[in-house]
Amino acid sequence: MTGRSTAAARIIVALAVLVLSAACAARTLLPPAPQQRAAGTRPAPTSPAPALAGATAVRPGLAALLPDSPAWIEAAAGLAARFAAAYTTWSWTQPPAAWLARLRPITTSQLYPALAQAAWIPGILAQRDRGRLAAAGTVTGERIRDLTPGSVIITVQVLQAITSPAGHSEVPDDLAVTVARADGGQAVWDVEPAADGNTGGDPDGSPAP
Amino acid sequence: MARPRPDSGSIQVTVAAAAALVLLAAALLGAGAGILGQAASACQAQPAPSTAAATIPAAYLADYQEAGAEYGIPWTVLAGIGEVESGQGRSDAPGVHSGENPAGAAGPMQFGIGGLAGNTWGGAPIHPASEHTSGYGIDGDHNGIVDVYDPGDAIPSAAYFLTANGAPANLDAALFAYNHSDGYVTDVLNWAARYAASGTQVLTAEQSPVCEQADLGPLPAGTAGKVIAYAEAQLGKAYQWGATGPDAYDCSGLTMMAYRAAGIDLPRTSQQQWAFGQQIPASQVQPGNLVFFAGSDGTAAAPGHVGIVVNPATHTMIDAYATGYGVEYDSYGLPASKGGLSPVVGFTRPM
Repeated sequence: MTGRSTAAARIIVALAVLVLSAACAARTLLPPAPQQRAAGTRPAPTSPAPALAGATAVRPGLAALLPDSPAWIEAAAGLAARFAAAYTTWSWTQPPAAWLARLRPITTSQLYPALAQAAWIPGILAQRDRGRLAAAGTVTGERIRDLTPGSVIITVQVLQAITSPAGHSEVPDDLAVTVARADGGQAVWDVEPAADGNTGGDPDGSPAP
Repeated sequence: MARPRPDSGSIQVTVAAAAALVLLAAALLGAGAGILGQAASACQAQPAPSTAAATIPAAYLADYQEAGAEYGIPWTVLAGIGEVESGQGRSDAPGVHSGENPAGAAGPMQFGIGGLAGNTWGGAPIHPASEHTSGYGIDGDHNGIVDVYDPGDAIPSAAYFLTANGAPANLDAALFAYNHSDGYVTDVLNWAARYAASGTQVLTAEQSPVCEQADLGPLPAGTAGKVIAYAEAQLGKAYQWGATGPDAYDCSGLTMMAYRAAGIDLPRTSQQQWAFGQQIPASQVQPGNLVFFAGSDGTAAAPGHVGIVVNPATHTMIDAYATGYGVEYDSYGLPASKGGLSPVVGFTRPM
């Protein structure tokens, strides 16, 4: 698998940017600290302003507002990237068992049977054999779509390099990878096309993102 | 895809019952594909060939049209399979004209003859017609030999396979059974449309009650219980667009995962799930069936919302309704149902 280390680096950077962005956003919602006031703005009152009812004396940090720790989320992003790269990497020269063997340690027992079923589709295998096709997936970006306690949906952008005797092509793909707690660690719960979803039954509901 | 529901007039019910008896007799007598094909042939008007169809070798075209007429399947769909699988037999890839490819597929229609592909053909790739096998290979050209490399056998065998897997009433599902890939189904149907003079399929099967023979009946024992148990275990979890669990779901993510828990793979979205299900009349709805609605991002032809029927008598389902709601029990098809849940598009029993 290529690009694992660079993908991991991108993830760390992306998460750092995310955390920083969120921190910046949070700061815009809070009154600036006195020492940060720009020149020309109204000075702080000489007497303390009355505290808002229910306000806490110490604002929790961003990490405390997240449903899981930043380390857990970062690990999930790394796992999603590894999974997406392995999921989109295959070759007509390798049996499906080899592809499954790379995925099995990082997937839940709930997802694995679906992957195993997909791996042995005769028509797809025949097409790959017929065209002598091989694909190598490289993660080019990640975004967090949804965070809940115990799981995170990460959309992973993948560039799949397809090679065959006829030539070479590159196919971009977006996957929604759900990582969840499993057996004391993390595992991939599901993988779906990132664009797929339904807005539900409310005819006045919001459109799909 | 518009899927008009069959009428329920008494004459048509009589026709359907008669067809069911014919099929029952065929099953008991072991008459096999011939009678199945004759019963289904009334279900389908055959498309006229387009100019693109002129690129199909004449012998193949004749076989497609003959098998299509016999089995009540658009011949264009069979031609689409032939194109995708072997380029109308022109491919020199291993297995098309002799032997097998590395996955164990053979012939112009790429039937599995062993290996990874399984042996859907049945028996040896070439065997006497007198030999009974459990596969789909048949002696279509009546020369006494069942030959996977002979389009005269392989093409009607493909038609037989499709009818045994839901066609013509549910062509998408039958093609999916032929090759478990959404992309494959799309490719075949695109080629089929190209071969039809009108540029579209002529899918009239579902308008004919005769074709209700393709009804799959109730879900396998235990399946509905597993599906509903999974859905009930998710009650109270949040709706989230694009989520498939374990802590949040959108409507089709919930139904897909509930069926996955029962060992059945559904496509991802409600529109796809509608297309891959066997439609059933409201009077025959059972627990575990899926109920569809236009929803906020769909239409009656491509429903945007789906739920799992829990109790048809009380019109109760479990669904992930919309943003701001959790996975919950809801009523469907009643005046008091939530917005968008009163008009039901239809019901399916997933394949």
